Amino acid sequence: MTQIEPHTTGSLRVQRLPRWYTGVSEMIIVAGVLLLTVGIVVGSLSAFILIMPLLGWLLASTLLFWVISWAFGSTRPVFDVGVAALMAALIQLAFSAGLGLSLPPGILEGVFSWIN
Amino acid sequence: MNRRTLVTTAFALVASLAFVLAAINASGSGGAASPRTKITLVAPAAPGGGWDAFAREGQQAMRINGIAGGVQVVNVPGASGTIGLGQVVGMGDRHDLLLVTGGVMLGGIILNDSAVSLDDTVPIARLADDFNVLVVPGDSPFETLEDFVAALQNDAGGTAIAGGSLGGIDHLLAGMLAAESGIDPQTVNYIAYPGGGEVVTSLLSSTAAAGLSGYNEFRDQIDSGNLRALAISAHEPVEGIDVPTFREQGVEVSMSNWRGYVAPPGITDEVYDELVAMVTELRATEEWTDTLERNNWVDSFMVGDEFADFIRDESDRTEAIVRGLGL
Repeated sequence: MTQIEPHTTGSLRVQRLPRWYTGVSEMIIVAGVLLLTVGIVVGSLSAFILIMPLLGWLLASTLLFWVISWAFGSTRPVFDVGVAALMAALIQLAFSAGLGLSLPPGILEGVFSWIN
Repeated sequence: MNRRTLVTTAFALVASLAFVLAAINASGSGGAASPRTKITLVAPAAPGGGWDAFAREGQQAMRINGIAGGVQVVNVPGASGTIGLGQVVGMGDRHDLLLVTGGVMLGGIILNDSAVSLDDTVPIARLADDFNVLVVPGDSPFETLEDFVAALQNDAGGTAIAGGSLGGIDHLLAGMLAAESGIDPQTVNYIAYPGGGEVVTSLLSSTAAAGLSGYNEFRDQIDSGNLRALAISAHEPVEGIDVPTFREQGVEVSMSNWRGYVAPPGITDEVYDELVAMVTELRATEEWTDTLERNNWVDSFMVGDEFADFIRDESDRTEAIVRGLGL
């Protein structure tokens, strides 16, 4: 049996193929990984809907973006936090400046009242 | 410091800065329940009329001066504004709505037997008064109000008067003019049109002998000589309008077409205070002063309880006129 490189498929990392590995079981593993990814995305979206009124758009969506990038198989959690925060912040600012609409502030409401 | 670290640091800085700015922005957005964020002005008439102009001029002044984050005008035409009134009353506790209202609606509520009235709303402010004029075509034999009244007395049915919707200021004025001239108001041949534009058309095509509408609707035609203004409905002569009042010509008829804003019935005290503050700010803007001047509207600013009392009095007065005229 030839040496198989460790490879990444989504949030599950397959380091070493098991002894009972046959060509067919790979299908089951890939299907499982896909299902798990879909499950995490659906779960985090549901959680997002629930915590959005509490945390507000900025924090809730940063968390959502971060979890989803991890679910899709990103291996750079710190970088992902940065991208997620940047995206959420830009959307917040675009809605406010461009459309004159404010997204739910949640717990951030009035935190910086000394600036506003 | 190598290139990679530099890029990473720059990215971290940009992301943090954006995040902090967004957090400050979120902190200042102060919840969703303020009419400052976004407000809808409901003009209960078709685009182009007096209420529509009133709403759009207000929208412009609010937008330029940042009185509200977003201002939009929605037209809900029909039945002297009572369709729009019904919708706004049905909105219950919406905090981001103002309904344009005015004298015309009071008559409309009575004549249409409307299920809702201005008592079902929260009065915010009266902003401006407009006056109506009695006009005849430029080639009409009626040179003065006296001539016209004489014709009306001789043949009320043959002297058709065109004007706005039934129960509106124009209709009430026609009835009051008849009553003052000693004619049964019910014999007046009043032809109702949806707006001033149609009244002008009916005058120029000689369908009606005289017309009643807001001064602005007729201004261009009066200036060009196509129409002749006989009298204006103001109590006192209006500066900038060269038309004598009914009272100056010995006919005790006066009625102002006031316009203002009311809010849905369920608003909280905070929202009420905010709306009053916003309308007060609107009235103080340069754009609004300019609007009043351009349209020859008279500033009749009035807020809160004073305005609520005013609506009640006007409502009673209109009801008395309508009943008195047997309309």
